[in-house]
Amino acid sequence: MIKTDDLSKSFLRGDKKVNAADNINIEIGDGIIAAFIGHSGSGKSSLVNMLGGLIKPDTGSVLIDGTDIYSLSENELCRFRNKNIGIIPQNRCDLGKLTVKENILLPVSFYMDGTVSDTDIFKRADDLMQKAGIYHLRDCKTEILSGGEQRRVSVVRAMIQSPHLLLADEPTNDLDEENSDIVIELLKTAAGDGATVILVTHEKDILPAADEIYRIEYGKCVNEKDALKAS
Amino acid sequence: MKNKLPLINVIRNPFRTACVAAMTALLSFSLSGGSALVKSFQNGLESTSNRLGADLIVIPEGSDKSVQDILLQGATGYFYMDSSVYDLVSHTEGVESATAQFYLTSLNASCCSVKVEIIGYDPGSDFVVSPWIQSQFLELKDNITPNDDSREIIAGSNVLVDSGSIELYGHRFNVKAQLSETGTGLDNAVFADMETINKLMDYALEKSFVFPDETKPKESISAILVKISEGYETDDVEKRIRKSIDGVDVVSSAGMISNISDGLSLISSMLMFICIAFFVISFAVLVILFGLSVTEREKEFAVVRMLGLIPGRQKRQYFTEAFIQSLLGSIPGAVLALTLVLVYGNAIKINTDIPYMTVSGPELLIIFLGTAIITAITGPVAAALWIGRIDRADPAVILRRD
Repeated sequence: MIKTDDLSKSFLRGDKKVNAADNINIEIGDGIIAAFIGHSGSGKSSLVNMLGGLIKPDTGSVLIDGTDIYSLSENELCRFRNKNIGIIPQNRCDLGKLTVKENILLPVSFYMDGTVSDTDIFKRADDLMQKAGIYHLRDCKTEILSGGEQRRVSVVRAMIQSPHLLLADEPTNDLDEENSDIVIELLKTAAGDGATVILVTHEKDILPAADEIYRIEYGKCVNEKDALKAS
Repeated sequence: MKNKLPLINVIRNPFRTACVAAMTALLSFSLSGGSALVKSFQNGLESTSNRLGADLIVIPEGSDKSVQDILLQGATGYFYMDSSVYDLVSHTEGVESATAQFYLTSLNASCCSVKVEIIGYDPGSDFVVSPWIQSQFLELKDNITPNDDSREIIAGSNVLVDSGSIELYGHRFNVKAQLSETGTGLDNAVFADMETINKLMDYALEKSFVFPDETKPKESISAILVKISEGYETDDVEKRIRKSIDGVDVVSSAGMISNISDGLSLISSMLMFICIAFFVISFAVLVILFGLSVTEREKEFAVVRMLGLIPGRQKRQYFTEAFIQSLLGSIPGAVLALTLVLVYGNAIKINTDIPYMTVSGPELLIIFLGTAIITAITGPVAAALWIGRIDRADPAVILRRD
């Protein structure tokens, strides 16, 4: 579950102060796919980065399964993000010289704390690659893959450690229908495993996959369903 | 499951790795080669100092250059003065002991298997050659003269010995022992006692060897090696000898060593300058290479940070990569330089005016390890100048870029 308390963040654009987040309070439970929509520059990606521990808010807190992530030290936050948060950035983010399998297993290799055996992790990687349709590419360097294949690698990598929170920034951006469908199915699988899935999008076609929809505008975050009920 | 990212980056980015390795190889080559050369010259200087033995060398007037060439360069030559000079020198105030030597050369002809300097010494008064020979051959310890047979000689390390003997003036002489390298001209000499020398003189005359005019070989000597008594200044004794004995020159060992030392300082300075120049250029190029690499890899650093690697470990990975890349150059660079120094040691010896004794095995190992480690560290040091860029790689910003 993810919860924010009065989350705020502003940036300077030129000499103008812009509110990326303005006292945002949300609570999204386990196994929920929440879509964040809004026009360009509304603060969607900034919000996702704050939820993922990549940008520190000016004020407020982010609690993931009860842990206030911004009360952690830098190293603790890194370790927490490694184990509990999967991030799928908007643009390509694989390491091209590594193979598909090496990319996917990279976050696992950072800390050998013995919580999961290598056998289990390899099996999970194989299963996810099969689901994503990239198992046959496992020994190929990602630099030769198509855009859709690379995106699927990013998704599988984000899911490999069964994170509690999965953040996907425009996951189907620039993808054809087939790849989009595969990505959405993977996100549903993550939610089915109990993760809270937050996806940022402005593609209306994938909104039906979401359990909840939040609209971001001028730093404010509104649950669309709640807004409809209120009106 | 081990994190093999540094090794993978080294192996799968061959151009980047090769560039870094090439620079550290250059660095390592210049440092190890320069160090080995300087050490070899220093060894030669130390050996010369040990081998000269005497404080002063009295020679016929005008022969000072020749004696230095013989002792230091391995040149051959001969010059003579009347043997009566020996008594005059021995009785000079301040002289503790003196010993005479006789120089002869073999011919570059069919009568002789090798062209060498032949040094005759008097075992009864000698304090230079015998101790040196005895220090190397314990079985001769109680026998001041190694030549039981007057057809036996002791050979320097560079003398080419054929089946345990060499031919001089049509007669074969057994080589009783061959001495270790000294890095001086004595490596090209053979040593014989006066009885053997007298025989050699006869053989030389038979082969039409021409002694200088008015020389009576068996009443002549070439040099007198002098040890100064304690409490006397070398300069004073030298002046006394020059003043009291006509027709002689006096060379001090300290003077010879000092000249060599000056030459060595010059060479060392030149080598040091070359090493520093190489170091500065290579290090500057390394810094540029790592800077370009960090810029190119900004996204990679951001991705790794996003995936949750703590900054300290990320930096450690970065330095590990730089160290491996540097080591790949530093080891071959050192190996190549030291191989060339060993292979061309003789050529260097011949073409410089300074005694040269190639570094020993342990010295070689120390130079190799020292330079390999030092140059392997330069990569991480150059990389460290860009560490701030890694720290400032903001995943939130960088990953938004295409």
